Amino acid sequence: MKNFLINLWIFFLFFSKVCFSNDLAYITNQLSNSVSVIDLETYKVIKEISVGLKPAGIAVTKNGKKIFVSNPESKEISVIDGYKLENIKNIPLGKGPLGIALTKDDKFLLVSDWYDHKVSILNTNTLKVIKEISVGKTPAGIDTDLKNSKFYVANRDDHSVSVVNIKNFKEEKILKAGERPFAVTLSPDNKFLYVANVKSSDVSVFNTKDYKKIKTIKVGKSPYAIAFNQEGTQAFVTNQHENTISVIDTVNKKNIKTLDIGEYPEGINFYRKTKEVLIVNWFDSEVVVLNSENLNIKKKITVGEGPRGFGNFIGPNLVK
Amino acid sequence: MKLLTNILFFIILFLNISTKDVFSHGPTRQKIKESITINAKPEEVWNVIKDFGKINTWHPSVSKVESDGKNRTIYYSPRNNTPIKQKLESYNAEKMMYKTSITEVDIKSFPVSTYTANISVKANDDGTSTVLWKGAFYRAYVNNDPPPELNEAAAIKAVTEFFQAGLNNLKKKLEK
Repeated sequence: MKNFLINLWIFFLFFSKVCFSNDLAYITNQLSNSVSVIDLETYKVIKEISVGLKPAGIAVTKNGKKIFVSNPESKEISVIDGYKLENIKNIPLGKGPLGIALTKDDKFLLVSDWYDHKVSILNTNTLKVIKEISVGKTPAGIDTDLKNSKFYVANRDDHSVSVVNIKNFKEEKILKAGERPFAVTLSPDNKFLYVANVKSSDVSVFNTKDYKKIKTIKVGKSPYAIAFNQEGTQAFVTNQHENTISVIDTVNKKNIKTLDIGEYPEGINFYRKTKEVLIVNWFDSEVVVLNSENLNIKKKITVGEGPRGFGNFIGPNLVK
Repeated sequence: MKLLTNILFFIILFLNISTKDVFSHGPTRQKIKESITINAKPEEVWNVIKDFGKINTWHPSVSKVESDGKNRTIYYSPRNNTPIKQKLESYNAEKMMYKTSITEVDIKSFPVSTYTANISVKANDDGTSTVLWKGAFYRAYVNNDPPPELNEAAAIKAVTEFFQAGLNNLKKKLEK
């Protein structure tokens, strides 16, 4: 009987680890040269990891083993080990690495260079650059499709978006966006591409079938980043200069609500497990947790100085 | 004739430097917070600073203002009265705060780009007020590896000096 109970207990421990293992959010703190790691079960910062200088962009592999950070000031990519939560390597790269994204199979890491006007493709196993592709002027945000066949990058000072084929590394198309596009985000079904334009304070929506611009949606001042809910029925946009987020009804392609969220909202991710939106407020140095259904703020988590959290910053917790 | 060409060349060069595209910037935004406690009621403090077009009445570094209520040009006296064009981004009388941005500036005199600033008055429990001035901006140099006069430190220095001079004089004026 005693043995049975112990076995049951061990089984329970194992089971709970597998089924209830939580996730982490990795927030780049640009003014304190670090990454704050938030436990998304307790909403507590469990670690602050030193990285390169002035970190901005972030990408987390699906298995959580590797986290990549772009450091435009020290011109390198920091690699964080997901088990140890330590910066295990810094890869020198270009003149000002900024936007960063992984292909959905986690095989390739794409990094845009703010000064070099190109995107570097790295093999995530060898951490070596396998290709450099020239794109438009001052490239920033990047997103990749579900088929691992294309990536999209916003060329901020060319007012355009480059569509690049990952298989043959060819720039297939240049889309005319609004003024100063910064972030590009595909809808979860990949049917639409949303582009946040900082200067014209709107979002351009492209059909990914024929790349026609089907709508321009007015949002708040200086939109920075976009996140969709899981179903893709809503998109949330951070408006840096208005201290708000815009909520877009993606079915009707309409801005349906504007919410006060804190000062200089920037990076934004949708957390599918809890249906919460995580918003990084640069000036307030905090992450706001917003319930996506009733749009109430649930929590504010203090992180390092000047957080940007530009990219997909959520991944599984591997820390034992 | 050669002299004329040279002069023309320098004029063009100068124009290129001074009329920088204020919407381009480097990858790292800077943050400044300056505050001061003033022995006066918040309403009294707000009364002095609330008029966007009259910053020259309390800021010692502004020699003159031209304003239409939405946009203003301030003349910055520490740098030879260089004009700085600003826009009123938002205004909240109830919360006693407003936000401005710079729309045009000679970066040799005020080396910042994509600048916004928020000034607010708050009541303290002891009856005094705190004025908080917050700035968010990029360095003026948009390319990589900036010269020292256009780097982050230069931008931080310019904004800090501007905020401190204004706040110190506001305190002096109200506590007189």
